[in-house]
Amino acid sequence: MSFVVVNNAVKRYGDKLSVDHLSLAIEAGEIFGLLGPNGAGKSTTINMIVGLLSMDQGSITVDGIDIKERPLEVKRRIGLVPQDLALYENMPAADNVAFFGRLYGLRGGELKERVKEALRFVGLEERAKHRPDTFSGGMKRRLNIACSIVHRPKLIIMDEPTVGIDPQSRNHILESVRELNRMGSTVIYTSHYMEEVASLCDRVAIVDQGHVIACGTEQELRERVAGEEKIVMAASGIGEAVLAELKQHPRITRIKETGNGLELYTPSSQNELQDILYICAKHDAVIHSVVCEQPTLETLFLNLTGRTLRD
Amino acid sequence: MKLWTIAWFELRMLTRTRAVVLNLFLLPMVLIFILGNALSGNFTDGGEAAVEQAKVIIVEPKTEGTAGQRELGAGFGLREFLDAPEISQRLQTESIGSRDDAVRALIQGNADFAVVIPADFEERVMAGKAATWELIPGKDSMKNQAATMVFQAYLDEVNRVQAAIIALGPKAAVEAMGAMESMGGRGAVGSPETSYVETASLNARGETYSSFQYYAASMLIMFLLYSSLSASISLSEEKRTKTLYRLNAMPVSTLEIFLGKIAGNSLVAFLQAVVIIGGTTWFYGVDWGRHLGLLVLICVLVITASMMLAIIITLLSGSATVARSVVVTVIVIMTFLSGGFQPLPIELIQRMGEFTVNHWALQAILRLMLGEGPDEVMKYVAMLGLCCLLLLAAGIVSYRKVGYHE
Repeated sequence: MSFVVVNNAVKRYGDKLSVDHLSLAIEAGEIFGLLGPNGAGKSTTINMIVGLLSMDQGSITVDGIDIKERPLEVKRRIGLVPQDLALYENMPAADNVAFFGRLYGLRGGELKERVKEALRFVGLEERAKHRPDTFSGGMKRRLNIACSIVHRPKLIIMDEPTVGIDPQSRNHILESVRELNRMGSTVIYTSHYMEEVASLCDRVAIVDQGHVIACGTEQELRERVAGEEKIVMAASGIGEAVLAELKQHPRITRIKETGNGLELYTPSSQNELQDILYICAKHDAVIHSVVCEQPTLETLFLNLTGRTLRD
Repeated sequence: MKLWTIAWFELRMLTRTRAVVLNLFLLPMVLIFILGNALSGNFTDGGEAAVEQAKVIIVEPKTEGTAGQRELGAGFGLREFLDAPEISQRLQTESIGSRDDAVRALIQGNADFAVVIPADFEERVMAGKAATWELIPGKDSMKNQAATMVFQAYLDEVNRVQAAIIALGPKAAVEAMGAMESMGGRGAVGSPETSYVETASLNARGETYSSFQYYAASMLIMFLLYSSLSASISLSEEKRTKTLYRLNAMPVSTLEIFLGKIAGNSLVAFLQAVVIIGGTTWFYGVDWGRHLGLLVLICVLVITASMMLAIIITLLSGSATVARSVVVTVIVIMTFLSGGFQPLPIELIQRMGEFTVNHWALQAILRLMLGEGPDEVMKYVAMLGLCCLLLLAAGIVSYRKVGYHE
């Protein structure tokens, strides 16, 4: 049986359907990514898994325990890293971690050891006695993680943990996630940064408008859009005649006008590039640059929804 | 157990901030010192309040009588009345011929009070007609009050005599008055035994409280109620800083989180009570009475009321800022109505004060200070308990209706 099972979950806010019959099965020991634009229903799904929100319909089990029946048992197995920093700014870093550790039932020597371990893990051991209000944004993010892993949870849920931080801290956090996973934790990682999810996660579910529109490994998802590569062309003087001729080309599947040129989708960019350049030159369009892109999760999302992840 | 973990952490957070510590523990001591000294004139030390002698000008136009010149009002014994030791101790009188001179003396501060007696006063009284005196107050309200009381007492007797004249006729009335005087009866005009004011005491032993005791009690109550502000801020901050979101995701029930925070703030308030009571006892010599258990009970009830106020206002307010403003306003109004800043002699305010937590707590503590027995104090404690029960019920309803989550 999967470690986390979300079965047909539904959550409504008034007339709005935030989560629409969403189902997921996450295996023990994997890093599972939830990818989707803002407002797709990722955070709502996470809040239901953690027991912060009740479902209108469906069921969720973690480690075989139903969240509705034994919510505290489920919560004991989870370490939630919230999207927003959730720290007591006027208390030292070690006191923050220790307080949350106590609430997970840790006491005495074991608590002290776990606090040290958590701070060491996020690289803040030397700042243990300093208050978070003296920390940089990245350090606060790392302390935010330390507070969530002090009890060595079986399931770690990270809700957009790298929002608004410097690249160095971002890399540190991503490496921490891999390390936690190597230590045996199952990780659910949500983001709207496609590259982050692609590089980190074993499997990814793409969520849009409250339901899963695609789920699998990065390779599996790429294969779904393998027949489509993107040509990004910066050009000027592209008139109706150019567009009309490009649209008539049998191997160009879609054309999107951008502010400074065109985005063209084709099964093989290398084969069609000569034709495209020829059509442009014929109609006196001036080409400034051409970039050919391999299909990505972004492409898949665009393919499935007609929108980009950041729309 | 988790409840106490939250409570202990709350206590540590509050006591770590220097500004909070100063506000909680130092400010009450300073305020008690300032108010106790500055307003000590409004209180006595257990003896009678001393009223300074007032200089009164009596404007009495001279008239020709059968026995030559004589003082007006002589027929009603005004001079004897004013010369009586009890009265002369309080009023030093001087006669002047015109009202203008009297007013000038009052303006210049040469006199404290003036009385203008009309020329036909005696004739009008004897004829059973309306007759009036003009009382002109000076600058000192205390002396004005003393002089007004004395002359009012005299005029009451004149009214009584006039009533007798109207009912019995002048001759019979004079005989009746004479009979009363020969019997040494109280109430005769000019009788030195006449007394319209009795001095009472707050308790059987004639003890009263000092200004330091009064303000120690009222400030203790006010600052314990102010702990609701800390609780309100703490409840709101947990939401603002998103730590409540994290706490809600942990294996702790929402009620435990809520009660833990309230318990933490209550502990700080109780610590504050200990510091105020101990500090005022040692530094200012305030006597809090002999029933420490009752004093602790009163503090616990006030803290309970304070926390319930915080819960009701914070949960029902739209924002943290509104909640803070409402808490402060409610506490200041309750303290004012209960006479916490200064005892107020206005009946309407006193009546309104009876609907405040401060009133019952203050009265209970003052009675403890006066050494009243537990039975007497318990009457006030019971009312305070009733206030707490009502607030507790409202607090529970607010929590059930709104809850405590993100």
